Formats: sequence, C-alpha cells, structure tokens
Amino acid sequence: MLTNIKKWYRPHTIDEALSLMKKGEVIPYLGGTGFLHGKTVKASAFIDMRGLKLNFVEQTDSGVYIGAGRKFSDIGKCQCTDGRVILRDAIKQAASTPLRNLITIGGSLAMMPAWSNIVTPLLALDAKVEILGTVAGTYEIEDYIRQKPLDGTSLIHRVFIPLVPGNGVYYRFGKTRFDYSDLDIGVYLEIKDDLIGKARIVIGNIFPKAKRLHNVEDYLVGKTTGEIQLVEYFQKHNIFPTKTSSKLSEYWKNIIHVHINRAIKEIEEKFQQEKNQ
Amino acid sequence: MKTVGKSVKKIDSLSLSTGRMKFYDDYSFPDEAYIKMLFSPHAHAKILSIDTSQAEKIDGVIDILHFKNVPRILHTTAGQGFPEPSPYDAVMFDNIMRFVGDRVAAVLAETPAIAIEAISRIKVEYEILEAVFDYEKSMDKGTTVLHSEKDKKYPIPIPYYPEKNIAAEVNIDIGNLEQGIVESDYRFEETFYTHYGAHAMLEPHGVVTYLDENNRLVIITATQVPFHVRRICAMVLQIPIKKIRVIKPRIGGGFGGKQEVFLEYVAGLFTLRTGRPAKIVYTRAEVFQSSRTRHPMRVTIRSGLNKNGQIHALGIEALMNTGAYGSHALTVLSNGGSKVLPLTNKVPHQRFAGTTVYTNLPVGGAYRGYGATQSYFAVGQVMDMMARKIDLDVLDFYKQNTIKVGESSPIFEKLGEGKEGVKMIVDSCGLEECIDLGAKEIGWNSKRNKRIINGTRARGVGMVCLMQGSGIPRIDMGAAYMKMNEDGSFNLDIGATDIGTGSDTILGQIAAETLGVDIEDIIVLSSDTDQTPFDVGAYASSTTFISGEAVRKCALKIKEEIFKVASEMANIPIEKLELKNKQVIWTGGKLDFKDICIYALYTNNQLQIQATASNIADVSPPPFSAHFAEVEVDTATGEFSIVKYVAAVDCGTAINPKLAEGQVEGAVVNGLCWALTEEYKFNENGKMVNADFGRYKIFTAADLPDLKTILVPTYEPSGPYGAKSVSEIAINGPGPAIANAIYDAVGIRIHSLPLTAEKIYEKLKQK
Amino acid sequence: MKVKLNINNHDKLLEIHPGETLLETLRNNNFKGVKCGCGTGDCGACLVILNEDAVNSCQVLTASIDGESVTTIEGIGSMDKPHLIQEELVKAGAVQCGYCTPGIVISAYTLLKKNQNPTDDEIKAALDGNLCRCTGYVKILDGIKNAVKRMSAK
Repeated sequence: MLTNIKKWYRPHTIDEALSLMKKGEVIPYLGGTGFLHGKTVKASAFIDMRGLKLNFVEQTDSGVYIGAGRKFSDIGKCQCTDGRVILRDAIKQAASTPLRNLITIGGSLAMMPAWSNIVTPLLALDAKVEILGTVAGTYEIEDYIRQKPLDGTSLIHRVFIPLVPGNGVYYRFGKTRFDYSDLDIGVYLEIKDDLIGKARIVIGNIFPKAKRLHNVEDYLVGKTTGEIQLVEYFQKHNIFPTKTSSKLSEYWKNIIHVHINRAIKEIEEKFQQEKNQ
Repeated sequence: MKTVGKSVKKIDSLSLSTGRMKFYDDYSFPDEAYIKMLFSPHAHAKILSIDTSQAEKIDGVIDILHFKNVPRILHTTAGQGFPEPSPYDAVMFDNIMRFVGDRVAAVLAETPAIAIEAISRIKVEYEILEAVFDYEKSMDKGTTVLHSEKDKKYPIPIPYYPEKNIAAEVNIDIGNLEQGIVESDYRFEETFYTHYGAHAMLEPHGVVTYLDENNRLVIITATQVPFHVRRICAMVLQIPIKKIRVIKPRIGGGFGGKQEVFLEYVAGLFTLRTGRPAKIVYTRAEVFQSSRTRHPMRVTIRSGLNKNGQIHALGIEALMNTGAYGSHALTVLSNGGSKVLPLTNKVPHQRFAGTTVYTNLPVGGAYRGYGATQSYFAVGQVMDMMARKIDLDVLDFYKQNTIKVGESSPIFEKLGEGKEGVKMIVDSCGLEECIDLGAKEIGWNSKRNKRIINGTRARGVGMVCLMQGSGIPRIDMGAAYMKMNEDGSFNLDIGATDIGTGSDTILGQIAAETLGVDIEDIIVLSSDTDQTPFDVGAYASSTTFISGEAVRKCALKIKEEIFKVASEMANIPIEKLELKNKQVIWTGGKLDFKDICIYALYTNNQLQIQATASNIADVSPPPFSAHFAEVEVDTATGEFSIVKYVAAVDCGTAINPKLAEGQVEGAVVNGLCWALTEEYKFNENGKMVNADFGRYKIFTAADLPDLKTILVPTYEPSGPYGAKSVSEIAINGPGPAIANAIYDAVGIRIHSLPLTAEKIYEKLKQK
Repeated sequence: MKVKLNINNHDKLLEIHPGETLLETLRNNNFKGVKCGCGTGDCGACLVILNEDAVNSCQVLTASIDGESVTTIEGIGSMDKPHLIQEELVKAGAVQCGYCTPGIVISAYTLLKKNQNPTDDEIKAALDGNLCRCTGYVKILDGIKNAVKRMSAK
C-alpha cells in the first residue's frame, strides 16, 4: 500500500503525460516493480502509461527501437543470433519469470534498482536512450549512466540498439538463479578474418552501475584472436578504476579476468562455427 | 497393512492447492483492529523516556502498549514443556533494548496504515549502551552485560551466569578425554564455525485474537505449540488458563520458528484491554530480524584415532551464540552432543563441553536439527579427516565405529534435555544399508579419491552419517480422543500440531489402520485447546512417534468398545470377534460398523463409543541417515556446483512414504541453502542488512540439483507400526557432505559456513 | 477510487485506495487463496494471472490495471472440480504447508498454457519466482511433470 498516492492520470499521448509531470509529485508508472519494496514514494499521483502504447519494437535499417514500455518477458523472446543475444540473455536471467512479466526496459533504466541488469548489455551493444521532455535528446548509454539526465519532467521514450552483426556473451554471477547479481559481464566482438574489428567489454553491478573496460577493448582491437594474451595483460594492467578497486576482493578480480577470457574464447568459437557452416 | 505404508493423499492438500484452507490471516472479524510494533534501532540501549502523546492524537489509534503500562512478567518465549529448560529473561515490553529489532512499543489501530503512522510518531529517548556482537568475546572481562537484573533465572536448576553473559553450560565426560587423546596413535584438533539461519517459512508469524461470547480470549495463531501458547499467555497475561482458547488453523511452515510464544500475548492484551479483535502480521523483514533464528556455533573437535581405525577419544567443545535472549539456550546446545556423540558409541573417552552466551544480535531459537546441525558440520568433517589419515574408506570407517542394533551409548543416559537422559538400547538401525545404497546411487567407488578433472573443473564426492532422536523421552506427551459416528466414521481429535508436515494425515492413517477403515472414514481435528486433548506440539521430531502411538492406543481402545457393543448385540463373547472391512465378524455372522454405532447411540444401553489415550515414551529411537554429495569445483575461480545429492534414511516404517520423502527432500534443500546461499549480514551497529528474500537467498526449483531420496525400511518396536522420526535428521547432512566433497575434489577444507566460492578460491590460492 | 476488473471471468466494479496493491484488493474482496509471503516480489505466494501472464500481485498497483483481467487460484479449479495440475500436485505429495501452492499452481498453469510440452529445465525455469521451504521442490516437479503427461495424453 502506497498511502500517499491519491490520484491516477491516464493520458493518451506523450505530450499529455509530460505536461502532467510538470505539475510535480507525479511519476510515470510502467511495470511498477520498483515502487513496492516497503519504502514510500515521493509522489502523490501516478501516470498510467498504458495509453501511450510504448510496448513497441521497430526494426529499421540502422537498428532496432525498443519502446520504454516493452516488458522483459517480451524482449527475452528475441529470436536473434547477432550481438543482441547479450541483451536477450541478460534479460532472461533478470529477476524471476513473474517479475519479468511486469518489468519494462524503460522502468528498469529510469529507476535502475539494485536488481536491474539492463545496463551491462546496453553498454555492450552501444545502445542509445531517447528521452522526451525538458531534457529531451538521444543519449549514448555511457552518457545516460554518467549524467542521470531524468529530471522528473522527462521520460524515456525508447531505446535504440544499433546493428550489431558480431557476436557476444553475457554472464551473470549470483548466489541463486533469482538473485540480485553480484557481478555481470557482457562481451561483444566483431571478428573478421580472425582479426578483432570491434570490441566492447563491460562489467556491471560490481560498481555503482556498469562500466566499459575501454583499455581492454583497445588492447584487443586489431589483434588476431591467436595473438591475445589476456592473462598476461591482466597481470600487467590494473583494469579497475582506483576508486573502487580497493573494495574489490582478489576473488572478484579473478572472476572478472577468468570470465572475460572465457567470454572471448566462447565468441571466437561461435565465429568459427559460423565460418565452418 | 492396508493404510500404513501407503502414500495416501495428504488430507488437506486438495483444499490447500485450491486456496480454500484458512491460515490465521485468512480469518477476519467484524471490528477487527491491527497491530504494528515499534522496534529498537539500537543494539543495546536503555529507554530513558517514551512519549506516545502524538501517536494517540491520530484518529483511529485505539491503544498503545510499552514497558510503562504492561506488567513485567519474566518468562521465556521458548515453547517448551513446563518448567522450561530456558532462562526466564524476557518480558513483554522492556526498558532495555538488547538487539536491533527488540520491541519498544505496539500500537492498535483501525487500519494497518494508521498503526504504521502512529508508530512513527512515538518519541523515544535512548541512552545508547555498549554492545557486544562477537560471541567469542561475550565472556571477556569488562564486556557489557545484557541481563544484569537480579531476578532473571531458569525455572529449573541449570548453571546460569548472566553477569558473565552465560546463558547455559553443559559439561559431561565419559572416560577421560585428555588421557584418551594422549593414548591415541593420531590426534586431531579442528575448529569450525556455523552461522545464523532463518527458518524462512513462507507464512510470516502472526496471530488474531478476539473475545468470544463468554468473554474468553480466543487466540488463532501460527504456532507449533498451541498448548504451550495457552500456558505462557496465561502466565504473562495473568489470567487463568480456563479463560483462554488457542486454535491452530493451517500453518504455513514452522521448522522451529513457530515454537516461540512472543506475539500471542501482545495481541491478547490488546483484546483484553479494548474488547476488540486484534491482528498482527509480521512483515518479512520483521520475521528475519525480530522472530527467531538458528543459533550460530563455534565447534572445536578434539579426537584421537588408533591405527586399527578405532576412534579412541572424541570431544566436542561448543560455544553457542543465543543472541539477546536465551530461548532454547541450553537444549540446542546439549543436542549438539546428545544427537551426535551416540552415533560413534564405542569411543571410550568422550566429552561434551558447551557454553551458550548472550550477544546484542538476533535471538536464537528452535530450528530443525536443533544443535545437531551445527555439531555435525564439525564432526562430519573430522570423521572424513580421520578416515583419510589412515587411508581407510570413510564408509568402512563409519561402519566400524557407529552404533549397531542391541548397542547403547552412555550419552543417552548422561545427556538429556534440562536433566539427565534415559538409558536406551538401539532396537532398529538401517545405517549400514543407508551407506551401501547411498554409495551405489552416487557412484562412490568410481568417483571417491579420483579427482576427475575436465579442463579447470574437478569433481569429488563426500559423505556424512547422521542420527537424530524421536521425541524427548519421559517429557513429551501426546494424547488422542476418538469417537464413533453412526455412518461408521470416526472423529479423531488430537493435540498434535500439523504445521504443514502432514501429521493430520499420518495420525489419521494410524487410526484407520488400527480400525481397518479407510483414511476417508477418519475426521481429523487437531490443535484446539478447547476441543482436543493435550500434546506438546510439533517439535523434537516427536509427532509420528509420540502422538502416533497415542492414536494407535486410542484406536485399540475404540476397537474394544466396538467389540463390547457388538458382543451385546450378537450375544457372542468378545474373544470370538474380529474386525474386518468395517465390520465385526465371527464364525457365522457379522455386523456393520454403522449398525453397531446406531445400536449404541439409539437402541439399548445407549452410549457413545469413544476412547482417549495418552502416550509418553521411555526411549527416543534415533533415525539414521547417510548423505552423499558430488560436487564440481572450478579451480580457476573457486565456483562450484552440486552435481548430485543422495540422502538415504532409516526412519523405521514410513507411515506415508511420499510424505516421509517430502520431509527428507525439504530438509535437504533447507540444509543446502543454509550451507551455500543463506547468510545473515549485519552492519557495524548490529542491524541485519539483508532482511528480505531478495538478498537473503534460498533456492527456487531453478536451483535444485539432482536430488535422490532413498527410504531404508526398518522396524522400530517402540514406535507405532514400527515408525520413528524423519523430519529433522536430513537437514544435518548438506554442510558436512558438501565440504567433504569439496575436499575430495580439490584437497581443501572449509571450516566455516556458508561454503562459498570465495572461500574456496582463497584456500586454493594458498595451496 | 473505482476500478473495473474482470476477476475469474466476472466483471467487478471495486472501490479501492489509489495506492493499493492488487494483492490487497484481492484479499480484501475475499480472494484469500492469494497469499502474502514477503510483499517484495521475491517469494511468489501472491501470484495471479494478469491477462495471460503470471505476475506477483504484491508488485502491481490495482489502479494500474483498470479494465484488465485477473485470474486467481480460485479461478483455476475448485475442491469439486480441481484443475489437473492441482490433482497431480496432490497425488505427488507436493503440498506440505500449502502456503506457496497457489502460487506454484499459477506458475505451472501459465507455463502449460503457453507450452504444452515443456522440458524439465523449462519447468524449473518457470518456477524461478516461487519459493517453497517445505518440499525441496522434488515432488512439485514430479507433480507438474505428471500433469504435462496427462495433458499430452488428452
């Protein structure tokens, strides 16, 4: 029971919703799972977003748009074989089956609750977040995480995933299948003629949100898979930002090293299989 | 046997699965009001002042309770027999707060929301006191004392030194441990740590109370111990027992967590003061922090082993943390010896030395396994170490050293519950068969000591042998009442408390078997203090064994009553009568049950065919079990998984095999979660920081490893139809079995729970 | 405020608090088979079917589903006419305390609606939101597998 909620608005357009938000103390309600954890919500009214029909998916030549209201369970059904498997696999492992029937991609990005593992795959896929309202604009996912632009009078409209012809893997580490993950890893690679063209390596949930390991990516790009000596690389380079690395136990550092290495091998095998077919 | 030994459907299961059966929160009454508690944010503090005036002003607030307006009646919240073997160190509301989650005040209001609002308006001024969180330091000189009031004491003579934070002590010796260790060829000393654990029953604690038409206090409560609830409430509320009726509805699991009496009298007092029905439902966070937990324990094993494989000395030294109050402080501790040492009964030199201490942390209590779980984590690993030391297969080591039929253990007699135990000979033991069948199922011979490696992954197998008890001898009593109806059906009224275990069904089966009728002909009513006879309740693995025998005796008496009436009707001597197919038969004639009952009720010398019986036991026959685990460890990271788990159990006759298996499977998975994924995490102020199922993790079906249960039938002559207990024993296995399997896989030993990848990684690195 | 819900195939006009959860609404309206085990979406005792999907009713505000359809455990089967999933859970010995059972039935029911022939792993995965502390899940999985067999035999 959220006792301070007094009213519901049920707009039919995004403009209507945005003008309602300007009244203050009014929060858009999508899946709703971020609100009911025993804490009070600083709002007196919710906006029922169902009328805005934000649960769409739109495929274009340059990529795919996912509406903010699209539920995890629907995104998890994606029949993709390219880099989008990272997003699909992440979402299939998020929370539980009944919660995935409620959680939306927009809600998860807006609230970023402890259990959200949406950021890691979106970083690995170089996604963009489109926001409407007072801070309207298209935000690179890295900027979105850094800036936290949502200001109470803006809302996420859709998420753009560019074409990701390469391949990827997503790993998640928790105590049980349905757990807030202690750590997740997303790795996206494009390999052509054994040469790594693009690399995006992401570790998440161990930091406040998630982070791309640009230095590791730079090391990988341009090398053949046979040349990579990640074990040695990790021994030589501290890939962790100084601020949090002190909190990170040797155990977790090792998990990250071992599994990034395994991820790359796994992707390489996927490319080999494709080549052989 | 017609009904016993058959997996008849649990009699309430269809109603439960369609959502019909009622739990306490499903009862609502007109004019019902709601209770919320204010809990201490400090681990140790004195309340200097409490001001409820702002809360009272809120429209809809009916009443507020706190230490200034309730009587100070010392009691224990442990729902045990009387007088309880637990210290009287608790009061309903106190001015000293002893852990984060101790209760400051309670509000009764028209709605839960108003009660929550009122709680936030109560102003409390605290004097913060020094707190002790490390139970290994509780007894140190100069440490803050939790219970300094002079009137705190046990109701029975037990060593109790609250001025040193000592809540209980147990010391027993068989032979001379020191001498035994010196004499041995090999000596061992190992220390292990077990951690807190939540019962995590799905239904939160709660109660609803009201005054009936005669102004008697009715308590509908989620309890394992309805008769103890009545007794403790009468004491704390200072009203006669005759003014209280306790009704147990369906209960959403207990595991020991509902063997505690701490909410019923709060709701009861509100109802007595206001005349209003009062309901309290703990939130899940409140259940985690403010109900009861598994006592953490440090267990040091010192043992001596001879080259011929005989254990020559075995000592268990236990330090137990009971948290802020001493609920079950003595008996959980002593069970760490009494349910463990008799397994290796032939050791000439044995010791159990235990101390329970207070800390400013959540309160320990009864929890399935009850001290044995903690102790087996240590003993089960040392058994593995000893067998390895002399290159003996641990299976043979167990067979050589464990108790056999016809044997006894001096521990049975020396170590009881709050007093000495009872002499006892083991009359049934299927342990060797458990070992053999379990070993075959896990593939022991092809896997043990083989370190099967695949890339960075290594596999290993480990095992442990276990025992428990069946009720508390000469203390636990269960009673049954039966009467016959004119359609040939029978009412069975029992004090025994079905908390989801299926005891209503099992006791119904025992009655049906004895009378040769179907389970459908037995109408079971359990646990209503006005309507059923006494029973201690659902704990100590007692119900099937103790209450089950009461039911069998009662049904035998009913049979005699039926024969008497039939004899009169047919004018045939009783000796010539037999029961068959709901008829009384004799050579040349028969009478239907229903005609016998109609005759008895309406025709001649009218009477009710009825009987009652009570049962106590002189013995507590142990069930035995062998558990096996196969694990796979990733040597690059320490991550590991359970490949397969096997539990072979001798519970005597399984009255209902599927329900018995269910007890084993439930206990194994409960033990797996506790050993692997569950953990109470506290901040520096002693507050639990993961008090929800989102962060305190137990398995779902998606985490379930391949799990196989094997029931090994034996016949226990002292139990009903050969039965002994099954509910607790299996929770003791996962911790030691998995730790032993990890050792088999990668050669490292983990001395503390939970068993985590991080601990394995650290040890692998050191290697 | 007032909302319209179709509950177990009956249209209902309900007076609710705007901040009320679906779990509260259902229990207040006597659908007591829907249980509360945690209130945080972590245990699955409160599962109901929203339109066609299982959801945690403690995580849904009733006002947010105005006009939609809800099926509770009371709408799946009754004592007189149990659903075969309920029958098979009973037969398998999968019901101990029974507090989680309505939620388990809802998970199994929605799974079998969408996938008549699930693999063992798919059944386990479909139950990843249901906690049960009594059974250890073995008999629950047995019961659901038997229900699958019975359904495919039909």
